[in-house]
Amino acid sequence: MTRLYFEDVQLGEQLPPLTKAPVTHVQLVRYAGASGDFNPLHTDPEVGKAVGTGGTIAHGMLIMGFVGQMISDYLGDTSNLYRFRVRFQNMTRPGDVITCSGHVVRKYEEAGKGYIEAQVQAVDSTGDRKVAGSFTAILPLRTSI
Amino acid sequence: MVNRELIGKVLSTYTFEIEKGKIREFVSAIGDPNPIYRSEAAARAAGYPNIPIPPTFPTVVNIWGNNEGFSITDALGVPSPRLLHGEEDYTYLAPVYAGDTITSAITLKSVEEKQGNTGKLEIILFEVVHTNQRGEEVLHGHQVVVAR
Repeated sequence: MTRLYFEDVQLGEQLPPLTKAPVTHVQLVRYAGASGDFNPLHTDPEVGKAVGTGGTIAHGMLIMGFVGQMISDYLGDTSNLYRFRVRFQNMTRPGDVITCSGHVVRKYEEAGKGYIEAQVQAVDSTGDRKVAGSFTAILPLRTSI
Repeated sequence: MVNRELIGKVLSTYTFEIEKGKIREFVSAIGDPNPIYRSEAAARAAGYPNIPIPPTFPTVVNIWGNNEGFSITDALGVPSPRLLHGEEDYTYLAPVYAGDTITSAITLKSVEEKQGNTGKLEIILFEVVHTNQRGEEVLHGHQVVVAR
């Protein structure tokens, strides 16, 4: 994977978007096991019906994980990620196709380091936004090599 | 109703070993095919000393690190189907790799009441500080959970 350098980033540029395979109920069960979050809202359709969310809904963290995948692919070096935050907005259900996107909103040098900030989001195929957030990365400078 | 006496208190401390199999299981559930999360050779070829954690892996540390001895739900006194995740915020201070051992402390920072569409909501803010086996702070996390 190619490592991203500070000089290569243009203010306002779009991150390569990431469209995931449709979310499945089995994926929610796998994510429950992987993350340890066995909240029945995500794993038991009967509980979802009882509390009014319909069937199962995805873990918000799974959708943040999709966004994290897009960011890692863009940076090419996960250790350059400095901050990553999201707000969870709407529920994701099995069958939803999630697309992650983002664009660079700030680029600056401070104390010999190159910083970029970007806004990111994840939406389904109808444009319903699941998460919105931002990240900051500290990128290597070609000029300091 | 969240017990207000817990505000400002460390609710739990826990230690979690970062195992490469857990990293693989996690990225496999997300559907992230990046080989750096699956093989030491691929990670080293990409310039890492070992298999790195993906950006949202701290959630594994928080939940599995706690799972058998502690539940946030029990500590707060709110049943889990009434809790919704509002925000997640990570600051990465130093890289974490397979083989590291992370010790974490979670503090209840604040509880705010708000009027929602369907009744009163409690907005609960947690802070988590993660330290590695060398005593270095590697991650800070903030989490907002909404109790309906």
